[in-house]
Amino acid sequence: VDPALIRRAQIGDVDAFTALVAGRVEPMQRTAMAILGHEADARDAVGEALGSAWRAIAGLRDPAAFDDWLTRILVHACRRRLRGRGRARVRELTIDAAEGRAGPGLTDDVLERLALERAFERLDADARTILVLHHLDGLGLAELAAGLGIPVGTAKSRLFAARRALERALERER
Amino acid sequence: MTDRSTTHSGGELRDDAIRSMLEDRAGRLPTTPVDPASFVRAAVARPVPARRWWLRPAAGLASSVVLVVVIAGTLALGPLLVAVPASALPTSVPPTSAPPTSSTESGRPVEPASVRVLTPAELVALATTRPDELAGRLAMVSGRLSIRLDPRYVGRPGATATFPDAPAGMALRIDDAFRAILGDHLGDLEGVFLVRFTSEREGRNPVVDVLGRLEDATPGQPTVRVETLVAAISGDVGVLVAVDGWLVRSPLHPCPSIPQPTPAPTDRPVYGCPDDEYLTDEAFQPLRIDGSVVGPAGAIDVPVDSYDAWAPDPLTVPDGGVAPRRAIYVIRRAAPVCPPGSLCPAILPWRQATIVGRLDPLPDG
Repeated sequence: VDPALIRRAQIGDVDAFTALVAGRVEPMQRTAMAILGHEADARDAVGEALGSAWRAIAGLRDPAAFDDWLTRILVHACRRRLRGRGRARVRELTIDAAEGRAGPGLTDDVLERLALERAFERLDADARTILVLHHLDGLGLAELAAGLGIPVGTAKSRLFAARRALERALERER
Repeated sequence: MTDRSTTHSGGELRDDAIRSMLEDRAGRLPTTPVDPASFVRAAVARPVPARRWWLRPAAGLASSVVLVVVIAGTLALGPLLVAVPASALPTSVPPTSAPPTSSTESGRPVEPASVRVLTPAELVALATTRPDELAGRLAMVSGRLSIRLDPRYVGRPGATATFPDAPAGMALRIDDAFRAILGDHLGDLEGVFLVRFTSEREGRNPVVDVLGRLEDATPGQPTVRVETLVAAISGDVGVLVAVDGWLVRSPLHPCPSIPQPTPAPTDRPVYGCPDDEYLTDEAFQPLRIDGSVVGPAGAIDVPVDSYDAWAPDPLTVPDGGVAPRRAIYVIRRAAPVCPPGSLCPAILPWRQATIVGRLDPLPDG
């Protein structure tokens, strides 16, 4: 992170802010897509997060914490999206799509992977978020804690609880 | 257990299976690439979602000053403010301020103390004369609840309940969660009970749900303070308590600069951010001048989304914070979450709970 870009963004330089976050848009979209599972929602969440970051960057005191801070804002935006649409909406996963990735024939592996994703869709926002940050984005416990703004012990227990919730949901989906 | 592609033989999920599934989800982005610069410019030009905060009366001195400044600024610079889009300038988040009292959905101020405990006779009168109007409302009833086996339910779990001191004309239905706590208990229970009006009827009688007995409640003092709860040395999972407190949510900013002690001290909650939600005895002032978000010592951790679901007149301040809201919240103690074998901070009995309802004064008939 370039501290000079942050300082310029903090005094209202939109070009500096754009330069600061442009390279982060794609990773943010991947994270949001994994949490939300819906392209339009993911794009809206990233847009909302960037808008919030722009409006709040003047309050950022520690430039080194920029990425953790941006992660928190993105997570917050994803949670808002999930709240908005409720937990009842379960996305349909087509067998065709899974076959396309797995080659011809519907294997047990494909069915199992579909079941796992349906199970993931049943999780609440907190559980989805921590699983995505850990398993997709590769954040360790300390990074999770920083990214979510919680103590490391809480991050550990939340990650454990999220895995258990996913396991239980998978059992129901089989 | 069968060994499957996503799990080990013991049933535990495989890390690589989770990762693969998430990579699949993340990879379903459109093939047309997004121009990041255009995307960012469009994002920063979005309108600010919530500005109602600026229009609300505030109680504290600091918020009053802010309000005066805002009004004066609006009068003096109104045309300029209209001419310059809010999204064109970055702004730091103003301190969250405390409203003077709780309020109903309509914004009308309400003193939690005005929520009265009914007698069984009053409950019957309300249920029989205003069932549709009150359907879904919660109320407290003090008296003797008699739990008996009902011949109609022989062979099925549970029993039926009545307030023997009340006139006939109402059917009580025991809520599933209360039934689970009661177990096979039969007989009389004294206390203050939480009930919910319904628009349903059993025969000609209106149905009222009994959700549970409120712990530590008396007709004269049906609510407890958070401080009392967190100091309690006991508290069974599932127990209901009516809490007169503030529902708060820690703000989005400026959290990054806050060192988080690890593990969390046991006598004082560490107010995480963003989005963690708490019940406290005082209006939360999360934004200190040094950026810290450590609030009052006594707080109960409630699930994310509790504020949106239960706060009266929920009010979002710019960029994610909320205005604290005071009311009588009915909470149910939750089982603390900690992985077996892990070194988690000691969790006091009432550190975690879920909000199951809010007690507002019943509208005048």
